[in-house]
This record gives sequence, C-alpha cells and structure tokens, in this order.
Amino acid sequence: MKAFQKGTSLLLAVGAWCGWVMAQERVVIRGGSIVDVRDGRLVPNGVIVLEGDRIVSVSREGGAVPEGATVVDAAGKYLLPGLIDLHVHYKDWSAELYLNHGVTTVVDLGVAHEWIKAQKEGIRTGLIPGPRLFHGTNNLDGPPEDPTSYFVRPYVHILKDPEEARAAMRQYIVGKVDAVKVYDGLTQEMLRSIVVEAQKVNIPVIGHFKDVRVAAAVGAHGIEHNGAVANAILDKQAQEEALKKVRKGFRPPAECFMDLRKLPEIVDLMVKRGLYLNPTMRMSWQGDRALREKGFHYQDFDLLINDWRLRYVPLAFRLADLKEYQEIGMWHWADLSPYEQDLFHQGYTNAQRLVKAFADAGGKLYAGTDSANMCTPGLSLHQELELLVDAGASPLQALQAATINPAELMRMKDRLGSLEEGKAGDVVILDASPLEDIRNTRKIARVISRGRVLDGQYHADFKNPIPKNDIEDSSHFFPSPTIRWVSPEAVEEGTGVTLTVKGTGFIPYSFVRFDGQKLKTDFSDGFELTAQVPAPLLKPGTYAVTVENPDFAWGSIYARGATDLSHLGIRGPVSNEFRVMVKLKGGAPILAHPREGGEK
Amino acid sequence: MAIKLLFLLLLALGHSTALAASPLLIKSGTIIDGTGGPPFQGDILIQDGRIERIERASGALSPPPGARIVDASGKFVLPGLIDSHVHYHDWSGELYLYHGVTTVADLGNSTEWSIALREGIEKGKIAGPRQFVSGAQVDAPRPGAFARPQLIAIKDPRNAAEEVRKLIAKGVDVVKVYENLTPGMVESIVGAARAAGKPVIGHTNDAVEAARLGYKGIEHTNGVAMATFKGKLDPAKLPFPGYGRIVHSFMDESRLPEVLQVLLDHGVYLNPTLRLWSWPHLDQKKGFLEEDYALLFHNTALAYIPIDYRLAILNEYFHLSRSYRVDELKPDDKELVRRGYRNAQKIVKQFVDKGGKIYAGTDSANIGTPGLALHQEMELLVDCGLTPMQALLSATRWSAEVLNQDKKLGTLEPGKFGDVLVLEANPLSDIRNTRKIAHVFKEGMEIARGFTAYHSPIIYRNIPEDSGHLNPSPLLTAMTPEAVTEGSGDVVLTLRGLGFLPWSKAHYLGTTIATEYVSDTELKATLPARLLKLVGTFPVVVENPRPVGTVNLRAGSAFSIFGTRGAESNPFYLIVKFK
Repeated sequence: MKAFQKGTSLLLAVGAWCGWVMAQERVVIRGGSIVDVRDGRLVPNGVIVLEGDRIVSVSREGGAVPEGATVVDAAGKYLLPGLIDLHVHYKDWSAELYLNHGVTTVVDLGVAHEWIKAQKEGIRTGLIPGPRLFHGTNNLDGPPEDPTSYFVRPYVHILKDPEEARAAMRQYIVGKVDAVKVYDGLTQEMLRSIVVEAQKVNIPVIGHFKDVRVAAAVGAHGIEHNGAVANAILDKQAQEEALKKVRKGFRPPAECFMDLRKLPEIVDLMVKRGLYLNPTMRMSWQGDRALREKGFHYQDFDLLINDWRLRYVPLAFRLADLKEYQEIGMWHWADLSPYEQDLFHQGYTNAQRLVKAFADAGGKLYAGTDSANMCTPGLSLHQELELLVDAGASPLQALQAATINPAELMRMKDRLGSLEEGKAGDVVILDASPLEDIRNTRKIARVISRGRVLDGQYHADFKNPIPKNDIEDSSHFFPSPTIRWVSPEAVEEGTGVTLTVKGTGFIPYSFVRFDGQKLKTDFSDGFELTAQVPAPLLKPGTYAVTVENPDFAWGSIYARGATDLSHLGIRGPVSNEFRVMVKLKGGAPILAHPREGGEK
Repeated sequence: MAIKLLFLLLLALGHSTALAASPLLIKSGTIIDGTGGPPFQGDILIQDGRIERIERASGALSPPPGARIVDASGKFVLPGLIDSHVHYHDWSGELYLYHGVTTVADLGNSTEWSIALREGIEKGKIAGPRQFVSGAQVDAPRPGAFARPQLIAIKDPRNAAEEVRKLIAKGVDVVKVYENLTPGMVESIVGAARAAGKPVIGHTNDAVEAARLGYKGIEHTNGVAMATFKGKLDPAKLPFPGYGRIVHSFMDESRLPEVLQVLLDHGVYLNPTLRLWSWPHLDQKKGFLEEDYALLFHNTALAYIPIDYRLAILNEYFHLSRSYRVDELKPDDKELVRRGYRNAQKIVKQFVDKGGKIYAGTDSANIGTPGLALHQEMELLVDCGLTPMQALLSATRWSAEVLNQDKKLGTLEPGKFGDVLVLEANPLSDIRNTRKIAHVFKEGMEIARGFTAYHSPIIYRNIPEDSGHLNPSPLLTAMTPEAVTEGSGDVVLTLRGLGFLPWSKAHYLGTTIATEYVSDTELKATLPARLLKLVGTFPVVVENPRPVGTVNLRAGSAFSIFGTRGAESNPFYLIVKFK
C-alpha cells in the first residue's frame, strides 16, 4: 500500500509515463457504508471493486476479494461518489486542491481555448494529473448596451444575431465542447438558436439569464446564480427606494428585492420546465457576515496560507480569495453603512428562501463554485454544500447537488454521479456520515480518482507539464488602474492645484501619486479621481502622475471600459504615467540668456 | 569673482521682463536684410531686443554708452533663420541656436508643453529659439487618431469650430490640420482660426481644394501632385503602398500651371520639405549623410540626443518610408522615385517663377537634425533652380509671413526682433555658405554656440518620445495555431498584430526563427521541428530593428500606447501538447 501511494505521489508530482497508466489495477474498497445518492439509503458493509478507472461491481460484504487487488479498508467509514463541481475556471495549479477535497470531476465553464483542451486530453491520457475535466464554449454574450463601461474579458464571444450564434455553435461543436455557457446579453432569439444546436448534440445550455422566464421559454437547462430568478420576481418599488438610500456606485444585487409572495409561482415554473438551479451561495455572498460568522474565511486562510506546500498557488489568488470575504461591491464591509450591510444580508436570506422553496418543490439543485476565478478549488464545494443545507435543503439534496444532479445536467448520468456498476471509479471515503451532518463531507479519509488511490497530500514541487499560457487574472482581483488623462496638464509654480484624473480601474481605495508623493485622493467613480497637490510640490519641471490601487490581490486588467488591447499594458497595482508640467512664473528673469556669449 | 558677482548684481537692478542686454552695434557688414532687396554695406543698432536703426553706410552709427560692438567687416549679416515646421523635443534647443535658427514654428506637439516651453524661452529661463506653436494637430476620427495631448480627433463635424476655438483659447499661434478632415470640417476650422487671426497650415490630398478652403500654408507637395491627376488616377492603386511621396512620380505636368495658379490666386504659401526626400540626396552625393553623421556622432556632448533618433536620421537616407529599403529596389523603381523628386523640384521652381512664396520647414526633430536640416533645405531649394536670395527668403521673410508674424520678424528692419546671423562668407554666391557661421544673436544677445552635456529644457516633454519616423514597437494580438503537438514537423505560425516590418523577426526558445512579412499586421514564422520536442508553454516574441520607439500605429487604440515601447513585442504563449 505504501509503495503504491509513493508511486502515486510520484505520478502526481512529475507526471506519468505511459506504462503506469495502462496498468489494469484492481482496487477493492470494503467495509464502508455506501451512501446511495439516488435515494439516501445507506448500504452497510459495501464492497466496491474498481478496475482501471471504472466500477465493475457494487455489492454487500461476503464476496471473495479478487487476486492482485489492492484492498482499501473502509470499516466504519462512509463512501460517496467522487464530487462534481459543475462551474470552475481551471488553472494549472488547481489539480491537487480539487482531488484532495474529493472533487474528482470538474466542468470548466470559462473558455474553449487550446490550453483547456490540452489539459482535458492530458488528464484523460493520464499524462497530466487532475480531476476529470470537461469544458464548455467561450462565454457567449450579446453586444453590450454601453461599450464604454462593458466588462471586457478574453473568451467572451460577442454574437450579433441568431445566424452568427448558429455558426458559432457549429464551430464549438466541431471542437467537442461538453456544455454551452451563455451570458445575459443574448436575446431570446439568439438563445433559441443556441438551444436548438445544443440539443442536436445533447449538451446542456447553462448560464446567466436576464430573467429565468426567458430561460424557461427558450428551453435552456441550467441557471447560474439566483439573479435570474430574482429579476423575475423583483419588487421594483423596494429597489427604487433602497437605491436612494445607498451611496453612488453601490449596486445591491437583485436578490435583495425579491417579492417573496411570488416565489411559489416562479419555483413552480422552474420545476415544471425541468430547470436546474445553481445558487452559488458561496460565491455570491462571500462578503456577507453570514459566511464570516461561520468562520469560512479562517478555513480558506488555514488551507492557503498556513500550508506552505501550497506555495505554488499564486499569491495574488490567495490574497484575492481572502479579500473577497471582506468586500461588498467595491467597499470593505466595515466602510459601508449599517443599512447597506443589512440590505446585502437581506439578499442572502432571500436567496436562502429561494433555495428552500426550490428544493421543497422537488427542484434539482446543482453545485458550481466558480473556483478558481474566485473561491478555493475543492474546499469551496464543501462550503457550498453546507450553505445549501443552512438554507433549508436536506443533506441528501445537498449531496445530490454535487453528484447525481450535475451528472444528469451534463447528460453523463450513465457514467458519473453515483456508486453503481459501470460508472466512474471515483470514490470519496469519509470518516463520518454526511447524511447526519453535511459538514462531514470534509472529513476525508481517502480519495480514489479514476481507480487510483491518492495520497491526499500537497506537494510543494507540483508542476503542471503544460502551464497555462495566458495571464493569471480574474475580475475578483483589484483592477490594475490606467490613466487616460490628467487635467490640468500644466500649472503655474507655487499655487496648489486639484488634479482630475480620468482612466479605468479606479476603486474607493485608489490614490494618486505626484512625483512619487501620495496625494489626498477622492473617488468619484471607477473612471475618475480627484487629488490635491499642495503648493510645495509644484516646482518648475515635468512630473509623473500615477494611480495606485492596494498592493494586495492586484492585477486584473478586466476593468470596465478597458479595451481588448489593454491586456498588453498595465498589470500591477500602479498605473501608467501621465506627465504634468509646472510652468515658470513671472518675476525676475535670469540675469543673462543661458547661452549668451561673454563669460561662459 | 566678487567683481563678476557685483556686475551681475548691477545688471539685475532696474530690470523689467525683457532680457538683460546691453545695446549691440554690428558694424560694417554686408547686410542682406531679408526684404529681397540688394545687399548693402551698413551698421545695425539693436537695443532692448529690437532693431533700433540701420544705417546704409559703414561707421555711420555711433555706439551708445555700454554698447557691445561687433565688427562685421568682410562678413555677411542676415536675419536670424526661421524653421517654420518643427516638432520640438527636449534636446532640440542648443542645436537650433548653434545653427543660427533663432525662431521655430512647432507644428504638432503636446499643447501644454509647447506653450510652457514658449513661455519659458520668452522669459529667458529656458535656452532655445523663439517658438510659435500649433500645439495639438487637428485630425478627423479614424483608427489610430485617438485623443492625446498632441492630437485632437474631431469626433463631430459640427463641433470642429468649437474644438479649434478651445485650442486657440489655450494660446496657440497656428492651427495645424491633417488631410483626413472633410471640406466641411476644414471650412469651420478656417473660420474659427481666421476670426482669431491665426493661420491654418497643414497637409492636404488636394492642394486646389485646400487653397479654396482657406489654408494659408500647404505642407509637402503631395497635394499639388495629386491635384494634377485628380479624377484620373486613384492614389490607393499606386505602387509602394505606404510611401506617400510616390504620387509625385505620376504628376501630370500639363496640369501643373493651372493648379499652381489656384494657389497663387488664394495667396497660399508652399513648404516643399525637400529634405524629407532623404534618399535622392544620398544618390546625388550631396554629402548630407556625412554631415549629419559628423554632427550626431562625433560630439560627445550630444550624447543626450536619444540614440534611436540619431539612428533614424541616418537610416532615412537608405529608406523610402519605413518599409522600403533603397538598396533592395530594382533600377526601374529607383528611376521612378527619381522622377518623382524631379517633379517636386519642378513644382517648386514653377511656383516661385509665377510669384509664389516658399516657406522652409524641415519637420525636425521628428526627422532631420534641428538646425542643420534648415541649411540642407535651403541648399535643396537652390537645386530646384531658385536663386540663393529666394532660398534665404524662404527661411526668413516668407516664413514670418506664413505665420502671420511678419510685423515682428523675418527681416532686418527697425522695430523687428534683433535676431541676427553673421556669416563668414557670402550666401548669395553659394547658398552653402549659410553654414559658415561667425555669430548668432537673439534679441540682441549673442548665443554662445556649443553643446553642453548638461543641457536641459527644465520642463521636459510630457508625452512619450515618439515619431512616425522611428520603427514601430511591434505588438502581438493573435497567434495561430495556439497549440501544437510535441514531435510534430515544422509548424508555420500566423502572427497578427501591429507595427510589423519587412525586417521583423520572431524569436522562440532563445532562437530567431524564419519570419516572412505579409503586411504591417501579419507575419508568418516557421517553428522548426527541432524546437518542438519539449512539452510545455513557451513565449513567442517579435522584434523590430532599431531605430524603434513609436507606438503611433495605424489602427492602434488608446491602450496600445501603454504597451510595448522597445524593440521587442509583448509575448504570446505557444502550448506544446503531449503526443
């Protein structure tokens, strides 16, 4: 067993060579209680036999142990199918975090580019360590209403009309995507064409919608976040009144203004149309007091900062994850008024009501965390399940959200999502029953991924053989600021001045520097700051003005108003320079022209 | 030392805004006063920065008390020279003054900086020639024409006049326009400029239309050549795309007189910028290359001129625009270009013969060495068939006129600025004698000619060092394929981006790989099989040869100015997958 595990470590640390992969190892797990996620039954003393990366038999105790098999003793433990995270943004450092948390299947819903395909292929052939990886299309979206404040990101594929949507879908299907990811800028007609094309190859359409009724009308399949539902039952008056009481730039999410009386009706529609719902409780409410009260931020900290074997996880990500626990909109929660904080929390409690109503009505929840654009791979899925149960779902329903439901939504129920013969050889062995307490999903004794027993460790020298080929970025980082203009461009020496700085990526915590000196700065909005330059700084010459954002979780160039070439520019917390000139005032001239003849 | 201090202190007392200057008497020189009249022996008295008196007889003027006396017998006295088309840089000042250029017109720069420099020089606190400035150039909206401190991109034609009024309100002296503006926009702009007494000078693709719309000065002769064949030839279909001057090779000489007549009828001045035709002077062995080289590379003090500019100035002698190296041209093509240059010379000669006025502007220091370029330009004007007197007028009186500054500048007449150039030899017998400088005076004070390593403009230019005459800094925006499989044979990458040149090269894994130029936005590079044996993710970069530096790219966006500035592009990463 030990040699086996050491070999597995070697596999994970440096990548495999082919001979190893092809070995038809047999693994037998016996003595544990099998959790049947289809109905919540516990099958005591189960025996699961894995061959290669499949389950070949599931039975009760009493059968003979096949020859040459590795035996995993699970006496007193509980067996779950490997967990599925249906909404990830896979990074080249994500593998160990998912696998060690029992997340053995992930679906990347961010991009369709060459790197993700190379990872999917490499994992499939065993040359790259990682969970089973599926991926969707690029994010399909409609043309922005206001291009100057659109959130530009690479791999957002903007479509003009249904014809273009159809053509794009055909291309993606040739590239063998497993799902379609949509954004709420698409019109209903475009969505319809997309759904039609997706149905032809039996892949789901999942994403953001302006309104869940649109999703229902076009026959889409998976709803990400509760916003689409909230928009369908929005209490507009409450929203208008609230907006008068909050500061400029504070945008409370739609969930804060749900008309709960209309909840049963909308839930009914969703269940009738067979829509799956991913409430993304962990991601959407990361800045709310509820998650801090549960101590989630300490869990993340303990994993990401205290375990230095995870030093290969980029620092910017680790800091950004911790930052998000403190942030509501652009502000640290403590800088907001009690009204604003309570308003946000109300969105959370409304979301909980929706989750409960949906689960009670027989709706199918699925878990997708958005890791690792934000949220920690692996850990966040367990946190999500806990939040679903807090909202009112039963532990079984939560478990289904990470097993059988996503498998169904992905049309992969025949090979994933439960411990049954013929399905994937992905098993999570827990020390305690998750049906009694959902938090027991975290008490992991062993993870078996694709028929291989993992050592459950992190390795400081972990390296992905094919590193990700573009910038490590996320809209959850503090933006990298850029300056477009500073006015006035020239001032007279000796008098103080107020500079107006225009650009992108400004936040309430940005500050302006003039010739290296920090200035008192006021935030107007994401595109404008004003700063006071005191008179003593204004000596004749030309000086650089820069904007700085906190040197903490910095680097996103995906700010509103950015263009598609800005990824070539600023990446750090400091903007480009804009130079301001200080002119010479009148008064006594120099005594002679500096190049005058006579004495040199 | 104490006496020097006392002397300086005394000078400081009883002083207004004018520069401290004792009266200056230049006596017994041969005065070429810039009016066009015949030279005469005489004395010039300059007081308080202005010409007080001129006496047409040697020794006629008695010097006032404290006057400095300069004996100019055997020498030739001219007005200080005016370069009426420059782009001022931090390092331009000493070079202009050294070469006797006491006034320049900056026709395209960061508005606020131009004005700050002009004021600083007027106050005697920054060393440099007197400046008249246009500040930002005015252009129509098009890719690459995003608003910057040095460019106003008119978004709405109806606002053209208002935008120009705002620019004039900042204090510019001239309005500089580009050829992409519509006639409607130009009309409004001219109206606004005229109302404020400012001349409109600029580029045009149709000199006849420009004259009718009210340009005072037309830059380059392209618009004249194009007016002769308008309607008959499509400039977009001519050979050497990107080399705008090729239009001269197709000029319809039979229509030249009527085109020039329109310019004359409207009192339009013409700046042929002959020196910008760099290659023909190399071809004709005029020694300009050697002259520039000696100045730019033999003076250790002049190391403050950025190396890319020094290289660009010499480089231009070997190129037609950035994309065509002359030694790679076929003999027929070289002859085509030569014909174009001869046509440009014809334009100049015929224009002046009919009574037209040339103003000499060099485009230094975007290209061309400040100061020296103006002397080279005057020599080229004489090569066209103009007299040396006419060449001198183009750099004195006619330049002052086109700038609406002829009341204060451009000739040696009482009341005008005391800017004087004293030469060792007669420029009328050989125009090249303008380079034989004995003294340079600006407002009656002598300029100590020389270069100092510590030369500083105090207020540095606030925009990136930039010039369309430098090779662009390349930018990569897309690459296909993005992924290849290990062990595959040679792979041809298609690289897309901006700023590519026929001599761009791609690098991969520390090696330069075979690169083929398709266009300024596309290259094809071949990855040899031997470099594709390693699995992983690796950068591809593109490098351009020096001189580099401009990010002023066709179709560049506002954000591309934050991008790469050196010779190497941003990287694009190639994935090499497992087999």
